[in-house]
This record gives sequence, C-alpha cells and structure tokens, in this order.
Amino acid sequence: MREHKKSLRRNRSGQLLIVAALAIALLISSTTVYVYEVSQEPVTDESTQLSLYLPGLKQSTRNTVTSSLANISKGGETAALETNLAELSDNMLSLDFGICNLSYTSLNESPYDSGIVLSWNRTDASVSGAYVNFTLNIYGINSKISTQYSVNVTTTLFLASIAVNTDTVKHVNLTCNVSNEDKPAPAESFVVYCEESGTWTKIESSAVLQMDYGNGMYSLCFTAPLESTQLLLQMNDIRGIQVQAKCNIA
Amino acid sequence: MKAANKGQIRIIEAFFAMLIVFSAFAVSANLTITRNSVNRADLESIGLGSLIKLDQEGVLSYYLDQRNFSTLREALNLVLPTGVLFNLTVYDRNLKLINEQAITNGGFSSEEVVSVEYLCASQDAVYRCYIIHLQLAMT
Repeated sequence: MREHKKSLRRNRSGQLLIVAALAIALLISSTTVYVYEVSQEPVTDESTQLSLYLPGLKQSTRNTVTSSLANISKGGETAALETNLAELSDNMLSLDFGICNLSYTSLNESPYDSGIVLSWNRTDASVSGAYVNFTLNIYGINSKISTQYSVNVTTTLFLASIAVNTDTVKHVNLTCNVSNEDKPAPAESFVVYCEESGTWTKIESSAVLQMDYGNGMYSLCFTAPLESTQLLLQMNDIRGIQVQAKCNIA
Repeated sequence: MKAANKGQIRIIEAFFAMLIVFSAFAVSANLTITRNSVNRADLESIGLGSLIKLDQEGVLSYYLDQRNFSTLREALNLVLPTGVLFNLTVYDRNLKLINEQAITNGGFSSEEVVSVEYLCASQDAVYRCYIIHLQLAMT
C-alpha cells in the first residue's frame, strides 16, 4: 500500500513542477504589470500643475495692457488701463483650477503717468507706451505659487528723414522707422495730415505712395499744398496702437 | 525501459516548466510596451501650450472677437499634435456660452478626457475677456 502511494507521488511530481512553473509565471507577469502601473501614476504635484497655467495668465495681462494702450492712444480715457485690469482681475477669480489673485501697480515715474506715456511732440521719436508691475498669486488646495513681473508695451515712430521739393506744390518724401519694444515692427496703416492756415487736411491714402522695406522702415511720397507748413503723420501698428509725429515743412 | 523513459520525461517536464517561466517574462514585457505613453499631465501641457501659442500670435482673441469659430477650429487642428481630439467651449465674462456651434474635431471615444481652462484677454481697443474650456483626449 505504502509502495503504491510512493509511486503515485513520484508519478505526479512532473505535473506539480508544471503547476509550480505556471504559478511562478503568473507571479512574474502580475509583478511586472503592477510595477509598470505604479511607475505610470502621475507624479506631478499640485504646484507643478498650477505653474502650467502661469504663462497663459501672464499673456492675458500683456494683452490687457496692449488693448488699453490701443484704446488710450486712439483718444480713450487714461482710466481705461485701470478699468481693464480690474476686469481682468475679476475674471481671474472665476477660474476653476485655483484661486488667482492679481494685483498691479501702474508706473508713475516720468515720463509715465498712471502707467501711460503718449509722447508725440518730441523731435526725434514719438512714443506710445504702457508699463505695469504685476504680482500674481495662484492658490491650490495644498500649494501656492507666486510671481512678480512687469509688462512694458511700447510703440515708437521715428522720423528718419524728410525731403521737400517745391514747385507749384510741395513734393514730400518722408522716411520713418517703426518699432515695438525697441525691435523693428510692421505698421498697419499710415494717415497723413497737412496744416494749411491753421486747418488740418487729410491727404487721401490713395495719393500717398508707400514703400515697405520689411524691417520696420517705411518711405512715404505725397504732395502737399504749397501753403502747408506742418505735417502730421498718424501710424497704427499691427496691435492697433497709434503714434503721431509732427514735422515742419515750411 | 519504463525506468529509462522516466528520466527523459522529467527532462521534458523541466523544459516545459522553463518555457512557461520564460514566456511569462516575454509576455509581460510586451504588455508594458503596447500601453499608450501619453498621460494626463502631457495632455494638459499640450492643450495649454497650444492655446498660449495661438494667443501670443494674437489669433485666439482675434477669431473670438470676430466670432470666427470655424477658422479657430482649423488653427487648433494645426497646432495640436495629430491623434489629439479636442472640444472647445467659450464663455464671456458673465459665463454665458458664446459658441453655439461646437468647436471640435471629432467625438471622444477615449475614457480619459482632460480639461484645461484658459483666460483670454482681447488685444483689441475694445476690451473683452473670454473664459475658454478645452477638453482633450487621445484617439
């Protein structure tokens, strides 16, 4: 009887080996899959996730300053900057990914007044600019990120040269440079006015021959009445910011 | 004869056992490779990066001001990588829905849908603010 049991055990040992191998295989597979799954779990912490939103919020503050300057340079009230920034700050509170607290201070140092400079009567270059300092705090459930930065939006129009040839009318050839934040930039449009006996008259755009050199330099050729003494050049850059420059052609 | 065969059978059994164990290694290695490598944080980063790119170029607020949603959809299709599905919803400052037509490139079939939020301020002289919700998923 004992001999029979022994032989049966010996006969089944091969099957046991296969079953054990299967069990080991199952263990190896499940361990590998588990280790992989665990390594794939997101390791990003909350502050890293919040910081993803930071560039977008900074861009919205820049856009707001640009929009305000475009409005003010076209005759809008200087208070537009404060109003728009307040609206942006309110909108940031509606965001769901965290509590965004935006505080700002407009630059009040010369030549800026309430963050705005419209210096259009200078002989060298005319400037429309805005400068605001920001502090942005984003609060998550367990973390907070904070950043301080400045936004400077400046459009400059520089009258490089002006040549006037007089016969029955004045033939004017004017060269100017456009820049955004001290880098050459394209202009959207030019409008020329001339002063005649205290009255400003617009020269039709079809009568102004415009040459774009592609590097922020423009050349304008047109004729002005013989009695005209001054020119007013009005330029809009592609952001919609306006700059004006006056020059004497007497 | 039987006793002599027993040894050979043992070797064959051991060989099978070895084969099973090594096949486990091979199969589990393949299981991990075939899994999709794009995770939630990647999709969030891709979505926000695309919106920032369009905003920096000034086209995001421009198309929203113009209510030109079909061109905005085309622009998003261009900046997002292929294989990423999106659905864009735009609200004004009073959280009123602006886009009546869906700005999307297909229905979501994936289980994992990521949502990002973006505040877009207009560069136009007439100031406007938009709150954008962008949902993303892999095909």
